[in-house]
Amino acid sequence: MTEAAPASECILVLAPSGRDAPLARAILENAGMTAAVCRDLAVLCEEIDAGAGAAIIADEALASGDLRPLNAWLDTQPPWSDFPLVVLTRRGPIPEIGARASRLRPALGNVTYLERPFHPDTLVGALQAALRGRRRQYQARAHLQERERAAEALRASEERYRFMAESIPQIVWTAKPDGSFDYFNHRWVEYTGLSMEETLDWGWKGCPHPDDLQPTIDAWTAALRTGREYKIEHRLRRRDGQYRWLLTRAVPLRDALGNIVKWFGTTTDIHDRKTVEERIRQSEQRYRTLVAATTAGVWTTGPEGSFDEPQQAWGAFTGQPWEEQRGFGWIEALHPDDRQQVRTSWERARAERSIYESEGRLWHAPSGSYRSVLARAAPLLNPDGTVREWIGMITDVTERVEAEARRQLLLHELNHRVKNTLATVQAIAVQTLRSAASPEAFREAFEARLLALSETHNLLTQGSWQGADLREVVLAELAPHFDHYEPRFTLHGGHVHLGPKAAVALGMAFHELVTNAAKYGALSVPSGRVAVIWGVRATADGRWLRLDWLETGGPTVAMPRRKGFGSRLIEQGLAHELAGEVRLDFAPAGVRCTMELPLAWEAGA
Amino acid sequence: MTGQAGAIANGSLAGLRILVVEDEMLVAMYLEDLLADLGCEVVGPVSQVAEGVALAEEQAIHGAILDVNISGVKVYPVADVLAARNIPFIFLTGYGAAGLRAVDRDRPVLQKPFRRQDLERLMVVGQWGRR
Repeated sequence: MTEAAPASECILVLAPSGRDAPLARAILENAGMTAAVCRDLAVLCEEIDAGAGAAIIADEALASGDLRPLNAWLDTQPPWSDFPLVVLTRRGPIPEIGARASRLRPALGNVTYLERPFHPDTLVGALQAALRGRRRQYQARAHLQERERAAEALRASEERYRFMAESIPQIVWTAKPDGSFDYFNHRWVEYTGLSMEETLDWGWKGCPHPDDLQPTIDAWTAALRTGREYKIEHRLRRRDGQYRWLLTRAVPLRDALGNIVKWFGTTTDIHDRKTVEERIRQSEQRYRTLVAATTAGVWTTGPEGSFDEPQQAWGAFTGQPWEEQRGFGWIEALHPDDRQQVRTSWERARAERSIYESEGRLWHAPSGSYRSVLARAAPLLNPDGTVREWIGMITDVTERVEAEARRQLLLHELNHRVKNTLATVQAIAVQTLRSAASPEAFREAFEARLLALSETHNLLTQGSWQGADLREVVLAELAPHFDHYEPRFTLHGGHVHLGPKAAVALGMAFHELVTNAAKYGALSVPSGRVAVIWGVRATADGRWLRLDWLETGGPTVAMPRRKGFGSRLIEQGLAHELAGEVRLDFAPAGVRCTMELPLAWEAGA
Repeated sequence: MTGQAGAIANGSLAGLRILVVEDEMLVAMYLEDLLADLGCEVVGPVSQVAEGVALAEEQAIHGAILDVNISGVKVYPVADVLAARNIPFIFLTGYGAAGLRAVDRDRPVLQKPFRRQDLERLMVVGQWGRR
């Protein structure tokens, strides 16, 4: 055997007797072929099995040996293989040879008989033909193998595609150019609970929600007609009966000429996303309705505080149309004195990205006046922490601000009133002290005057310091001197409203009168009487109150040696304060006091 | 009342004519007494702004004590007349200096109730009767 040649080119020689084997080998090698001598049939079979181009067998080897392994090998050759054999026959009677040949042929297949002695060229020619045939067989085998590999590759590719189609979490399908579906992956079966057979072709039409069926068919037929992408969101019934939102998309595959050969589609469950979207939409709707329902105005601005879209609430409040409010035009609706403060508040809020809050006067178109408004806004931040927009609210706080102002004014007034009252008390104390004969007398007189002042204050407090009725003021001062058994007073007069100042002044005057009467006048004896009579008359310069204090039945009155505090207060003080005239007459029959006072307090002075 | 500071009362304020505009009768009477104790002559007292203006314009006076709030009316017209005549005056108020006009911010103010000595001191410091 020549090492260089491949086994498929090697010719095996089995000729156990005589010199046939070396001779044949020599002839073949001489002709440039490769030959290998085998010892017996068993070795030959092994060599054939290992790979050989052809075999030469002397017929005596066939006669004596066991042919079964060779037959078995030849019988089980692959379809492409028909191993060539050359049998060397011995010269003999033709019928004998013919009989043997016809016996061997079915068992050996591709066999050529060569009678010995043969010419070397005959042998070489026979073997060259055998080898060529064998080479063609190998070519056929290679060709077959090539085709098998290609088929295998195709199978593998298809399998990969199938595997992919089956493993992705979406429903995958294909359809023919006429729109009939020819493939669904398993997800479809899982989702619908329907078999392939039920849904292929146009069987899927039972799956969409009744409301979505026609739009689905319309969109699909439109895509088929135009060759454009098919895309629709529709509800498809799941195996449990629930309709869920799915997104179906398909694109066409075209051949070299541009004709659609197939549609490839996917169907994706977007129900949860769609539900969330719907919830967000509803939530936004709720928010908008809430905003519309509240009396406060909601507004939004860009990161810098500019109005980037029409602000309905702002427009309704200020009367600014969009062209005027846009950008920073809204500042114009603020009271000029408040603009700088609002700008400063904005700058601080922008810098700190914190809650914006400021109060100012904003033009209110419906009332045609400036109203006090509280504006608050919160920044909506981007993921990187920058401000995307501001969402704010304006609230009309005019009433609160006015109430606060009223409260301040009241506090101020109260303080004023207290200070004035203290000054009055101071004056009473100093002047009582001036005329008091002893500490006891001072204490008594001072206490009495304080209480008189207090009585009038009580009356005024009952009337919310708007004033008091004259009769009430008189009664309050006379009350300590009422006698349960003897009526000592006569009060006669209509209703007269006294302002706070007049009430206090008259209260003090009556106190002095009644105190004097109790000490020296009509009330110092049981028989004494006091009449208080008043009336109002209209004159050219307004309404005047005339009041008379008349004491009767008392001891004879003597003119006092000097004018005391009470006399001064009644004659000068009262006249002075109420801009009227007061006469105090110490007549012997009884003290008389006549007051003529303008009712200026009625006009609110 | 006794015990006036001798040095101050020693003729320095005596004889001055002082206008009093005060609508509270008791306070007005008190001021009358105080000023009388100082040897002053009281012009008024008046309880209306118009009367105060008339007296401030016509009378020969050395100073004035003006209650800021006269029955709800500000006493400023009287102050303006006095300022024009360069006559010193003191504001008397229950509100404090904060309630005054800007032009009056530097004027002496007595808060009610007040100390007699403070009134006296303001008159002396303001050199009433000496300008």
